[in-house]
Amino acid sequence: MRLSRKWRTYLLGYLLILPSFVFLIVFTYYPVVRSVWLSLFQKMAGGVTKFVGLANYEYMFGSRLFRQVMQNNLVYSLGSVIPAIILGLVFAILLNKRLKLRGAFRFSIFYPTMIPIAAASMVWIFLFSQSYGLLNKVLSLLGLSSNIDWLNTTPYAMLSIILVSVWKFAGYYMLLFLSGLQSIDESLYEAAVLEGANAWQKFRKITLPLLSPTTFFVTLMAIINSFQSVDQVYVMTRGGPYNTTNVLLYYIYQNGFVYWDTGIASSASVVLFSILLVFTFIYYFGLQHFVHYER
Amino acid sequence: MRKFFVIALVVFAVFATSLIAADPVILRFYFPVGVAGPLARYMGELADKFNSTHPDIIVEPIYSGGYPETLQRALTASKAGNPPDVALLTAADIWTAADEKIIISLESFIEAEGGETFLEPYFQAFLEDCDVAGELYAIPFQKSTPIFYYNKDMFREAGLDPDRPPSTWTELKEYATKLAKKEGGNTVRWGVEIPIDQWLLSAFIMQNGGLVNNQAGTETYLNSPEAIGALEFMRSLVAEGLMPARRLFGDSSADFVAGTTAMMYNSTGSLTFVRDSATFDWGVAYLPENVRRAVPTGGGQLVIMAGIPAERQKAAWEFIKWMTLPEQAATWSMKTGYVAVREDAFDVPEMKAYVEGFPFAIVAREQLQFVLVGEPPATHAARQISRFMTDALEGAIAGMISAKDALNTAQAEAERVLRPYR
Repeated sequence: MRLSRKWRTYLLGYLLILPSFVFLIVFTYYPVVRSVWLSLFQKMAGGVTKFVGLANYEYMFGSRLFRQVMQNNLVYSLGSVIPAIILGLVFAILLNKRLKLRGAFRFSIFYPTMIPIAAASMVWIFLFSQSYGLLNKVLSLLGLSSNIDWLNTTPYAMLSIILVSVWKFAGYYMLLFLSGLQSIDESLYEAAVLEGANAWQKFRKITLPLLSPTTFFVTLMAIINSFQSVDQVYVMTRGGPYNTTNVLLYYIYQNGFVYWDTGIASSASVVLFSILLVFTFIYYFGLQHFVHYER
Repeated sequence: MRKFFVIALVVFAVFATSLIAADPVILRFYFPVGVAGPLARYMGELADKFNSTHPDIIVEPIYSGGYPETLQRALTASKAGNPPDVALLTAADIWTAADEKIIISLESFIEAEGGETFLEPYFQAFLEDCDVAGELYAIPFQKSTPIFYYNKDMFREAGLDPDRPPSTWTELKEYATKLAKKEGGNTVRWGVEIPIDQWLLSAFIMQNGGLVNNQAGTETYLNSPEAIGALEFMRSLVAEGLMPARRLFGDSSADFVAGTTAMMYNSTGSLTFVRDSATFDWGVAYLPENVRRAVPTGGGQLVIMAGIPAERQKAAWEFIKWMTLPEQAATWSMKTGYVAVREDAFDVPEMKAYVEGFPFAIVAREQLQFVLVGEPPATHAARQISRFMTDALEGAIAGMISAKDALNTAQAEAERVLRPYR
């Protein structure tokens, strides 16, 4: 039997995507399904598990710790995403101009992105130290309160985590914004200048709208990032003091790999998965509806 | 031509010997490094020594991070059907490993070696951490206790007798008040630092006359009046500005050698670090007592993994036994600062000389007489119980929740996770 031409084309297409599809199934879809399945079981004595339906979720949503973890994650997400994006945008606009040493500035702002966050966090631990940290030294030179125990008291611990995240990610967002800025046609600005537009008007009416696809992409990326970063928490605070820096992914890690409570860890993973799924939908939906494209 | 002949002969000789000699058993040994120092290198040296004296066994020590990571690796490797042969686990994780059935009971091996007579030389205090509900699953290897460190120079400066460290809670607070330095409402030098850890909370609970858990490991007493009293005392040290709210073990020893705190609770494992880094006169002592003198143990013990062939389990037992012989116990203790796990290790000549030159090394051993129950919490799901205790400690001493509420929460959480084991 000979396949029709159309079917042969389809078959070739499926064959070509097969390798990556196999990887997706093995490393993405299967674990997702398995997490959902495991989240319905509770660990019992003797290494066995018992089917408990939605009891894990019921316990989790009812527990003070989980609610606090979600709240922490919200604070962390808002606190790190907004400043990182604004800083990224500001740096991008400044460094898109013709400046002396522009390359050096761009490099130094982008540089934190290239250091593994775990290694960077180790360095920040020293900067944040109460007795010999650089941060307190600088504060005391400025005549400000300089006896802050950054990583061990609230709300400074969360502030420290946020600070490291902003430092880490702003440079990356700058890079994305820079590429967005450079795709804007110079002639639009020239026309605006001829019409007598000032700098603010140019920014407000040309740069921002034409940058909106980039901004949208960066924002979504940043939010998703903020749910996936756990290294600085693990290295710098271990979720403390009193769980005030415990975020969702760290909670999953603790339950899964310190307590070996697969049921709770899987339930929390399903929650994380759902959150990220919502943002992914917003992304694809938004791409089609909200974003202004120059056509 | 002659060269060819020689080469052929050598090749043949190598082949022949490898055919005659039985295949050596290869043991993979997961070990963590829990204190400062080049312990991984020392472990390699120890394994080399074992390998050279046991031609039929080859031990490959594999560094596996800290204690939690070692259990993680052993557990995931076991679940994937590729377990290591020997591992070095902390007391809490032995319960988990036994519950997950990834380690084997050592009772039959011990029986074959003569039972009680074989165990006799080991310190009873350390054997407490090797059983799960009465059955031995491990042999002690690198053991510690918390001890009390103090800066003698600061004692003199504050008009305190440098040879009389605080021996009770009351004295501890009194001394801390004299030793703490405040400038404009801020403490610039702490009186004492007690690292945030369930290990030290356990010590205070026991010193206050309480216990953390029952013998079967199915019940905790976290909200007993003794426990609440202990936590309230720790909280008062912070509330009165004598102690910082949150320090981990490493932070405390760094603060101590930097002169930021006058006294600290820390592991015996930090002795070597403090000895090498402190630029002042210092001393160590037993932990201060309250209702009674009590101290927990800590550190790691050796286990044999399940799911490996019997001959490898037998070789693993040979290795474990050898690792804790007096000579090795003494070597490990001298190099790392851990307490040697058996009485007769202190008769090894090198050890005798070492203890004479560094008498602090003996304080931990002598403190062993005050060990009540090994390292609490000795329960099922011990890591979780530990976390509930640490949470309570953190919350209470940061003043975010009262000691009573914090411990009530911890107890309720502990009851929830222990319910399946009742």
